[in-house]
Amino acid sequence: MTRSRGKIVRRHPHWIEWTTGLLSTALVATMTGMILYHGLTARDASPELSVTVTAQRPTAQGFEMSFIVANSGKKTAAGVPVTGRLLDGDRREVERREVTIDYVPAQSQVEGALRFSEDPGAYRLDINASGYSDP
Amino acid sequence: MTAFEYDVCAALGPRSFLLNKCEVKGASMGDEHNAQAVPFQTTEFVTGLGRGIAGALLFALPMQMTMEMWDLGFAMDRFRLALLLVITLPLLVGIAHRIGFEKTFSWREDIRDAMIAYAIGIIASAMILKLFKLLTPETAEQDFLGKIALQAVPAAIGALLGRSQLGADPDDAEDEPDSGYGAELFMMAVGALFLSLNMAPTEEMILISYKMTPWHALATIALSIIVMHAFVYAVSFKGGHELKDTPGWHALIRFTLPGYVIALLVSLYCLWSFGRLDGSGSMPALMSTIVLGFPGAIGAAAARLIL
Repeated sequence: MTRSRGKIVRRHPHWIEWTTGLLSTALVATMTGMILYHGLTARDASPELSVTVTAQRPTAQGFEMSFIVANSGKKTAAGVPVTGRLLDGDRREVERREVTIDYVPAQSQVEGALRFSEDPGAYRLDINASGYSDP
Repeated sequence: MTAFEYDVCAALGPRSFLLNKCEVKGASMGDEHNAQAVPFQTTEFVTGLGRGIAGALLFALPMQMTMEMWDLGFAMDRFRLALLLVITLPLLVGIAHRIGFEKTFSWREDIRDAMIAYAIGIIASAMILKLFKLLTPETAEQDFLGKIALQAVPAAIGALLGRSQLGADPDDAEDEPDSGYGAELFMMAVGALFLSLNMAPTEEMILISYKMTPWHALATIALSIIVMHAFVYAVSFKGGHELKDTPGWHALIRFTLPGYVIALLVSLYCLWSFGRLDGSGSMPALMSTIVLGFPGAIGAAAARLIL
């Protein structure tokens, strides 16, 4: 039983094969172009982190404060500690909570929450991303 | 033989996934079928079942032993999990149609085989997860369901592939029907999905994409396409495709590039399903898609050769 061991690619296929093929080529080319452009514009990029409080609600054991960490930079930040402090007046720290976000990808945002036992509404809140490392 | 086995045999019919030569004429039990008694081949039934379970284990164990997959059981968005389970159905039927049978065009039998494979996948996953003490009576109901359902997808695909790859049917390889263009693309999607499902849950996929610069991503695209093309046309594996007088770039545009796009789409779908792209900007999402698209591309190329 001597048979050709594989399938043979036909020389003149149905037009749909060429259409699919050319569409795919265009798609891959566009993607490559986008990355190329990104590569040329994002040299020496660094993460630009900002923390925004989105909601605050009482829970069974205190108060929960939801936030969004946004990275507007073109580089991903890893291990981002988000520190929230409740300040009485100017200096005195009433409560301090921290949570670490594994990754904040470039031009992306990640949601998180801090849980306080005191009511954050009664104090001045200071919340920020206190650092990052390279992934 | 029990009445149940008879029913199964009758339901499966000839040339089915579980019983290659199940000639159902009757049962040997003392019931109404006794009149036309031809002994039911229980061994074939068990062999078919065994192949399915072996396939499920072979293909799904890496995922069953991955921590992220356990977490996804409860962490995964329920809508996305349901969608994955629904998408799996036509996929299994397609695989059953492509490799479970030869030229017979019977979707009824394909659906039957697909459902049996799904059941094997569910049972095998439940047993393995139970064995690893991941399912305990204390496990929450949603977690319990989610874990089994998620693992059942690769296990079911594995169960069907087990029939084709572990089976000793001698005329299996020879009688392979000449596949059409659509079937070729479908098999690439299956291959890509298989490897993507394996790797998408792990944190490494996104971590690699974060570590990479755009230049690394470009190199990954190039390598993915080269490897895909070489796998099928150059290295001349068993099942490789011959070009004859067709120029190589014809095959590149008609098969390899569409295959790569399919691998990327499958990769994007897997990442989205597992919530890896939530909140992510378009560039990081594209980069992780390319990273996962690399194994996906190899899976797609391999599927063209193996299946």
